[in-house]
Amino acid sequence: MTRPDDPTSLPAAAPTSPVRAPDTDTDDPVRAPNTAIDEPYRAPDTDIDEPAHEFGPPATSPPREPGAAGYVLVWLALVALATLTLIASRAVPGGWGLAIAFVVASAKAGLVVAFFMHLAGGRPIHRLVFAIAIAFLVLLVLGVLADVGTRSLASAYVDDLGGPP
Amino acid sequence: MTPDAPPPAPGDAPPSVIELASTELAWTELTVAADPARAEAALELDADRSYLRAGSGIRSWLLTTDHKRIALMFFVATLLALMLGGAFAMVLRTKLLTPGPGFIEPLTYNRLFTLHGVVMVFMFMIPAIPAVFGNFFLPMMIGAKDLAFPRLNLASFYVYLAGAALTLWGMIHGGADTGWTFYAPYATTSPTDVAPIAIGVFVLGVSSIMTGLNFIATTHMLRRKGLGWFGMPIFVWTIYATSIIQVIATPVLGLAVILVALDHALHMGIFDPALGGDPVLFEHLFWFYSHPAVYIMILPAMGVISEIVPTFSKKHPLSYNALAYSSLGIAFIGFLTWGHHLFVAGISQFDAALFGAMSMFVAIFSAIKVFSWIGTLYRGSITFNTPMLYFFSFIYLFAFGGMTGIAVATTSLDIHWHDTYFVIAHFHFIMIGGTLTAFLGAIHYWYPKMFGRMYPERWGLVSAGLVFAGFNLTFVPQFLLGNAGMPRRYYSYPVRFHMLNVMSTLGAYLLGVALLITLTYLIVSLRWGRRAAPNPWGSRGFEWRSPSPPPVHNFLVPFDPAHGPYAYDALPPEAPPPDARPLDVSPSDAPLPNVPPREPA
Amino acid sequence: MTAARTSLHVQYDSLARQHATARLGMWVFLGSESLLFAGLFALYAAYRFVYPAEFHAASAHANVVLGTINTYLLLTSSLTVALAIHATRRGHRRRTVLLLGATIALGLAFDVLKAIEYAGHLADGIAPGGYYAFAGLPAHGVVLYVTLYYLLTGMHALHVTGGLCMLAWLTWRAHRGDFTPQSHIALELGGLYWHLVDLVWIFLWPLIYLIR
Repeated sequence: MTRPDDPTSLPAAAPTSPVRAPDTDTDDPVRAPNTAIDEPYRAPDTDIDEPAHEFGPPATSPPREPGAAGYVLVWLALVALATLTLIASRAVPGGWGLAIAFVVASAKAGLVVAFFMHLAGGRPIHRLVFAIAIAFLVLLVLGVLADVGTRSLASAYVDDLGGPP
Repeated sequence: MTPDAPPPAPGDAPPSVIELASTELAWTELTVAADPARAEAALELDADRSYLRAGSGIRSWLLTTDHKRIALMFFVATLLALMLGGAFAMVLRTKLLTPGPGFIEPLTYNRLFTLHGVVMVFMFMIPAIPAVFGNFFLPMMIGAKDLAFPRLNLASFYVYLAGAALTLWGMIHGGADTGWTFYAPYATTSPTDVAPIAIGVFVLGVSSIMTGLNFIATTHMLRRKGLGWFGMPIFVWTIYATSIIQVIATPVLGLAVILVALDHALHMGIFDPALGGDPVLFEHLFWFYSHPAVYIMILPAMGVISEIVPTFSKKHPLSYNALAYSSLGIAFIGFLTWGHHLFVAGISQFDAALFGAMSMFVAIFSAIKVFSWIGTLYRGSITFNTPMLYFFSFIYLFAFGGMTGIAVATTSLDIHWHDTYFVIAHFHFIMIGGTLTAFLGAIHYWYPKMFGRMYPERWGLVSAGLVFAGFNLTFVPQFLLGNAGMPRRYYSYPVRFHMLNVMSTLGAYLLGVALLITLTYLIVSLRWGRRAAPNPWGSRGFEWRSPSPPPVHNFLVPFDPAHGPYAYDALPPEAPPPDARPLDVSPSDAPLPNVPPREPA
Repeated sequence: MTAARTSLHVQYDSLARQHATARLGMWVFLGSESLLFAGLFALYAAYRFVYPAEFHAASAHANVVLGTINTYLLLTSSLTVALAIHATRRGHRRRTVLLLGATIALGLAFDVLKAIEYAGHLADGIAPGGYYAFAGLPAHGVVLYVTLYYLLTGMHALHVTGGLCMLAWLTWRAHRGDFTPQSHIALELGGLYWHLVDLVWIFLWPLIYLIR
């Protein structure tokens, strides 16, 4: 760690000490981004950013992606699952129908999230963020259901909203 | 290492912690005794490079992306909100001097307590510490030059202003009388104009989400090289935990108030019993946000305390890991407890029992923090500056407020206390005694860093004492009132409650005066305060390793995170105590010992 | 540095970090948006639990055909936007623009069908809340399904429309040549948002239309 400038040498102009880290701006040629538009996109094997003098944990490269054929395959699976939902809804009534529809919808959602949104090949923190959001969504639904669903069971009185007829 | 020593040549061993501490102390030494002229000159040089001077004119402020300037703009806005909400409170308490009809109408009274709540919660308490001190110090504390998304930061300020403007317009335009909680079915059928205020709250929530998003991204991605999660100051942990709550919980509030606005304006009837709806469902949605919201209010305050206590004890925290993990713990558990606001609303006994049990857990993490702070004091070298006085105030008021919180979270007790002044006293103990106290402590702690000036220490101590006294006189009687059965939000009350109400009102006046005194000397010190050293408290925190006020990009020289923010053990025994500066009573043109008065420019 | 290229902001040491931070910010935003719909799902769950017969009866009047077509439209639009980003990575500017245009077309079709659906319901008196005037079913309980239907699909349609505006802007930028194989973060973020819109509909569709 270098010492700040000695205040005795009060310069009349702006200080030029090499000790001082320059205020960077985007015109600094050292920091010009890669602008080679003719280069095809390559997912590098290692992290792109060299450990510059300042920053800590390295940013990882953009997530790997399935490729055009992969996308179309996922789409076909989604269409198939949607059709399956339609058929199941006609065939299976009541509570089981809801359960099946939910499971299939979750499968579709999983495909979209994993492959279209690159959660599968991406950084773990994205998975954590998504998981936490879904967890709290489920928490809200369950907390409300825990109230509405148990009113006829656990209340001293039963009102209009006391539960299933 | 004295100021005259040559800088180390490249290839030298890096300076030891002792040398480093001496260097950083040298900055303080300069302003205390060694050479007054050099000290003043150094401080002048720093002032010229500061973020306050970089770029002049109104546009350089209104269109800034500098997180420090945005923090100051939030500072002004939230202080105005505090004063507005406080003014409403003063009118309410003045009415409550008399048990019968008073100088305002009942409808006005209802509007005023609604607006007092809305303004205080959404325009002050939620943004205050994060948007002011989080904005200013989060990047500095991780060694970054700015937040992850500076333009989003500026946008969050303008969205805040838009929400505030909409809310205030709604206030003037026949403001709501529903209470800040907007309960259905009254809020959906009230003759007053609910929709503008509800939408204003929605917009304020958007600002809150933007801020939280920015902080999360910044903490993950912009930490300085060598600074891991467990090397950061605790304040960053608490702001991070707060930001998680903000982005997860606020959308649910947004939905709840939009539903109220739609229901009121367009008769959507989603909570209308005549159509089969259930008003309690609104309360579920509302409190799913509003309970974690109180942790948005208190977590940053705890972060401030976690910075103040080690600094003024010259000691590392009792347990860094405890403080860090308990921040996440509070954020998580806070989401599991919202039903304790619905105990008497008509939820099932099962649900009430479930939430009652969960609510007991959140106190564990708060207790961990309280014990950590107290344990930090033990064997520390304590100095009683104003921020430290606010800490002692905080620890007393937060402990009592927290314990009464556990009390009201007990279902059987809450049946007696719900919707009485007991609850009001409880949450004001936490909000004023906790958050506002920490906010004031933060202002005084970081004032030298933000503005390059010192506030007058004796005034600070006195007004901190007056705030404490006024607060207690206001709210302790309210515990007694609530326990005796006085309901909240009532315009008139039985005569037997008269004396306690008068005490409470007098306390409110005292509190108001104390806060005005504080505001006054803080404003005066902006211009006439003694110029501050970079590190007047001798703190090891990262934000103090930069001039006061900081330059635009926060640091002149990148700090070395290997010397952590609480490394007080490394102070050399022979160095002069960093707090060896005289108490300052008057503005800086009164001569300090060894320092001749400054020549007029 | 031309205005068309993403400039490196001063607080970042590399464009890779800047882009990675933008991606993280977008995921946090998507998490937040999910919670916005969470409240409506909670209301739906509660009321469906309490009024299963009414919900069943009311959903018989939902337009399953239009709803199902909309499902396939959105699924396909997710494919086209993913392929558009893929095309940008290959450097095919024109293909990117075409695929983005296809996404917008599919999204627009979704909105149009939704409007037709709403118009049909409103003509029958199937309106939310106090405006419910459908002779076929008594209001109690049923109107909650109807109101939730309008709230859920309306909130979703607002997000679709916002997404369309965003996609239009991205299409224009792609046409202008702003996106390079190495640097197209705005396109990635826009794609993520559009996939979220699809995700919400994946859950909405069976809950609204396929109750048996």
